[in-house]
Amino acid sequence: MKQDITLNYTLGEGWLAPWLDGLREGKALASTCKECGNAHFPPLRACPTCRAPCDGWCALNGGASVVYRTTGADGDFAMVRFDGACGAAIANAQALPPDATRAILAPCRDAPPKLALIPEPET
Amino acid sequence: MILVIGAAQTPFNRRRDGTGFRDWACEAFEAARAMAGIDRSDIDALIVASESDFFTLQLNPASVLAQDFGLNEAETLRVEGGGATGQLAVHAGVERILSGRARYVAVVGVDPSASALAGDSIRALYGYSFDFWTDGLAGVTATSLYALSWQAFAAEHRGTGDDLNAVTIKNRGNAMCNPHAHLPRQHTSEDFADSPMIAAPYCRLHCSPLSDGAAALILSAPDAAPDNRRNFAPQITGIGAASDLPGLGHRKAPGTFAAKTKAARRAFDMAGLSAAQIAVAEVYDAYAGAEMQAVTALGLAEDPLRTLRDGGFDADGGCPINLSGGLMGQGAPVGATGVGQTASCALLLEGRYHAGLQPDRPLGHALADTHGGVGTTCAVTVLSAGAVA
Ligand SMILES: [Zn+2]
Repeated sequence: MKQDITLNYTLGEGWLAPWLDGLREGKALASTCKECGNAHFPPLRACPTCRAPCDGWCALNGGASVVYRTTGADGDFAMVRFDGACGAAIANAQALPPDATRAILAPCRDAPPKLALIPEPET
Repeated sequence: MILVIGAAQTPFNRRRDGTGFRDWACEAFEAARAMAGIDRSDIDALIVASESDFFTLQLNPASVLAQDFGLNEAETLRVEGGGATGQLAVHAGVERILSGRARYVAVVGVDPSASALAGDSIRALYGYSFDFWTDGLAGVTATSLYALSWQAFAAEHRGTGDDLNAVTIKNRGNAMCNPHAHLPRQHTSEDFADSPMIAAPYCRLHCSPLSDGAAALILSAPDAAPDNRRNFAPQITGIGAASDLPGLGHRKAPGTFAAKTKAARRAFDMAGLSAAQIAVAEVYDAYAGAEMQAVTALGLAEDPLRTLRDGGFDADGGCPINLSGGLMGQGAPVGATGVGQTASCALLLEGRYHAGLQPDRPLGHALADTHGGVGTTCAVTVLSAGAVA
């Protein structure tokens, strides 16, 4: 027997609204811990070190270093450490050259916005 | 201590025979109940392990399965914890008995993970099984996340592609003697060069399949077990669970399954045992490398990669890992996976496992291990041989 379902969700962005707006604009917003001041990107609501609420936001410069990378039929993804953040993020790396060690956050107008990387501009 | 008086599973595979998840659940439940030798009316609670309503298209699946099983007045509960769903359901069943609320509990795991949806839909759904609001927004797949985690582990422990191949060859080779297995294969190292790359270094042969199937246990309070089972039934002596941050990048070491170590410690403490006393283990090998990451976290060998290379985890090794074939070889109907692992351990301890896989030496203690996410929601169960083993 066949059964088709189409689901259209409306999701409240809540406390993550600043982070999602940042992805849309290509701005890396990290959540900051009330106690230790650590900046978490992607944002965490509670600091894993001191368990305190992360109720502030700070803008990172958007640059990131590639830690690990994987490619194949499932796509091209990297674990990257954004400058100024503690911890690392998982990002779409499709637009990066295979040997890239640096990248910047790409603005993304998709719905929902993607956490994706583009090459760092040459200086 | 809780007795496993019944343990059974259906074949794990891709069903093309027109049957559905309710049929498989009934088959596994009835086989476990027959082994236990108790009536339906004796069963106080039914715990159902099912990972996703997107697979079954049935919310509150425990209610319809209780009806199908003839458990009209039993307490029913559905448990979900990603890949750890089945093992968490076993724990919920154990706790029902330990708390005195039940004498007999049926734990049934089931999922139509292979046949219900097309591969692309499954991949899309599993994108929601990590933190949808962060990693999910990268569009990342399970295989890609596991590949990144393995890279971190391999960098620290000098893991190689040959190690990934060796796990696949071992587990699918074990599955050759398991009539319930989804992917019994005699692979050689040459097969891997032609296997399509999914997320480097993982090629398709390093990935477990999604399967259809069900598994069931009947758990009993020690003083309630039927006379013919009381002294022979294996015991669940320890349960432990723990969680890690869902985001790999937020962890101190993205290749280390730290929560699994905590879950195992809790289970070993409850059992009064150490990892060195485990004779056989069913370990969560969603991907070839994940087995080595898990074995390391569980403390089942001092130098796990060396032990793998030396054959210590083979069927005739010192501590066989995944005699069933594991997820790689036996298959993975997600909710049934952890229940099936525990069933395999119980049957091994009782000396009733498949011919060709049952070790010819007595087994004292066994361990079943699962996790959801990439080592995020971890659940470990320790079993010990019955009084007259
Ligand atoms: Zn803090």
